[in-house]
Amino acid sequence: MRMSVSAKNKLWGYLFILPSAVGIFIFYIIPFVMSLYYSLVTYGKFSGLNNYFELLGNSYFLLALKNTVVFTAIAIPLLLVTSFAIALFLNSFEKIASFFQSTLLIPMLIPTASVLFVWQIFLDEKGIINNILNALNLSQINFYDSGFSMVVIILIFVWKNCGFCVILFTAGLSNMPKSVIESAKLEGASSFKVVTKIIVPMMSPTTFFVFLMAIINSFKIFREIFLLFGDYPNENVYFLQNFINNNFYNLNYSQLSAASVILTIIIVAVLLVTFRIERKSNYLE
Amino acid sequence: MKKTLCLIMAILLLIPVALSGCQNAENTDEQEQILVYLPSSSYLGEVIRKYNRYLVDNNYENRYKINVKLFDDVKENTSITKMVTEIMAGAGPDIIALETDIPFEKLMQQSIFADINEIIENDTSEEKLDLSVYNSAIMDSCVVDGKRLMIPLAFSLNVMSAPSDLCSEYNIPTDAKLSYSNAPEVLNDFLEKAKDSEDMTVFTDFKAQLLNLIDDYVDFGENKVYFDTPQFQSDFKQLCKLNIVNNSDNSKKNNSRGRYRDPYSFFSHFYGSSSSLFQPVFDSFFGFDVFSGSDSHELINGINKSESDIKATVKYAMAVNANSNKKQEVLEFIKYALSQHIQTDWMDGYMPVNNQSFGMKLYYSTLENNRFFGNDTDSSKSAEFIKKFLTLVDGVNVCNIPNSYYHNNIIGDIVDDFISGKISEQKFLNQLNSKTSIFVNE
Repeated sequence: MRMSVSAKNKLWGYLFILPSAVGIFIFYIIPFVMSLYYSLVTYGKFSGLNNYFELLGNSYFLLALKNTVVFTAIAIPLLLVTSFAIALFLNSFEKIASFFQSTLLIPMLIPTASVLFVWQIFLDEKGIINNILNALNLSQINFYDSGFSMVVIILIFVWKNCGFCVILFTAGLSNMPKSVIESAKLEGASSFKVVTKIIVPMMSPTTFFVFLMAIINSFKIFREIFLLFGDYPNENVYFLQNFINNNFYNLNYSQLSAASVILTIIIVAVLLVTFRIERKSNYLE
Repeated sequence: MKKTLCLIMAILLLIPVALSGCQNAENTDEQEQILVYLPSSSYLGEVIRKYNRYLVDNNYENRYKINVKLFDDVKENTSITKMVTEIMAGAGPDIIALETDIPFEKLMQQSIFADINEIIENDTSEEKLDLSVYNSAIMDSCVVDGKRLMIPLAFSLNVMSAPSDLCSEYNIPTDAKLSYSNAPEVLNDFLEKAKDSEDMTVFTDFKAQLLNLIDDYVDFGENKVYFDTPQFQSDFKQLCKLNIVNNSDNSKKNNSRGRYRDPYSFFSHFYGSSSSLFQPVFDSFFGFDVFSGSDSHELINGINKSESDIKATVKYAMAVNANSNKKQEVLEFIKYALSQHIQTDWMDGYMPVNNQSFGMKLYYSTLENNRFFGNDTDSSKSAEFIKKFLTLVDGVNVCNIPNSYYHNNIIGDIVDDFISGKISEQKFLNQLNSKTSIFVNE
């Protein structure tokens, strides 16, 4: 039996994606289905949505959810705006751009533990910032045990991921047709209008990609929180990942699974909304 | 080209499949046996080794033997994570020892542990386990919602001893009933004197006292924390008044060779140097000589939340994994560990839960005291001391399961930092409240 060319191509296509598909199936799909199962079971007995209701009545789950949402809602826009502004700035100075791009990438390359050690030198109760405040006769800031903890985590997140986002934005800016910007300037458009009316809309595919990467990286912030504050941080920086991680050690897998499923639903919902917005506002199409 | 690609992909798929068969498969003999994970310095491990020898000597079947897997010292956390993952996957060890660094205080509320009462009921052997011959106050501390989730093997009592001459010198009544609120008042004369002295302090181990206070204000069963109550704030301040080492130069105190150093000369290696008024006896009683040297000592109930509390702590205990399919085999080991012989000879310096063993150990301990300190021993004093001790044991009305996971992993750092003066009292209380509330409620 001879196969047609298109059928052969299809077969090859499937063969090529097979290794990845097997990996995704074993390491993502099966565990997720198991989590779904465990979230509906309590002590080996089917309990329907009971675990979800209990979870939604757990004040510390809600606190973790609130903190995660607050962090994501502040840190990601801040990261996008900061890195876009830096990319725009570097785009105007092409000669120094590569040096700054490399420099901004350094926080991503250094191991997290080393980075946090440096941050601790600054933020500690007896660290550099508090020493300066003391010298100026100002009251100390308790970075580890107050609302400032969230600010610290947001700053670390932005500082760490800024370089990578700048590179993505710079690549997007360099691929933009220069003729559009030049004609707008010839017609008297101000720099602000060029940025807001031309560059930003045209950069939407890149922005969308950067946004996705930022969302993914925002869930990796647990490493920093864990290293700075431990398993049980203060209530201002108690995130969903802390809740899930601690429930793993407490062997409360019904609750852990239910929390994981809720987290997955939130992420998928955010991504779907983002995809929809991106499709509607893709100027390049 | 296509053939090469085909070959590469085939290899890619085959490697993981082939390697999955390379895991370190246990032999059938080991699979049949009861499994337990233990830290390398486990005391239960010694009892298990003795039990395994007993099984061989008495021709028991292989399924009764216990396969001990020791945690890697360097990667103990990794080993615990592996164990936890196994339990989550519906397998894991058959016996879970209290010495394992996992949150027992939280796990007791979940169905991780099997109900040992049920296992005993299902026992078809001739020698059924009769729990009435054991210390009921201690045994019942592991019963939650009618389920016996752990079997305690030994316990310790929160009692302290103080030199008799110090008690009379500083007007401390020998029948003092101490609580956090009245302790500074009762010990007032001693505290006044100790403030100006490098050689005097109240406790040998203030951390143990502080953890004792913290435990009194956390209810793991009800998921409640009472650190923001006025009573805790007041008790905490009162207890801190007794930590007079903290108020002066620690290094001087630790190196001091004052009058009250080593009051228990014979067993001083158990306790280290001591310039304190109170020597905690709760870590060991039967290794403790009552009348060493020429000094006699008074036994005083430990400092608790209420004057009427007499507190004990479970020392060695084990639980049975609810996933285990060898529950009846584990029961044989439980019977062995609770037997009179093992309870008398193998519970270290702690007090055995087996009432007969307890009586025998007390008898031997009295003989030992008389043998070592024959001429100097005042036998009526000794009898009085033992009688008081027995009264306290019989009166135990609070029994804790050690919250070592909570003490070490959740609040250990901040307690150390507070005692060493690295963090302020307010910061300590804030963090204590925050960490504990999350741990208890999440």
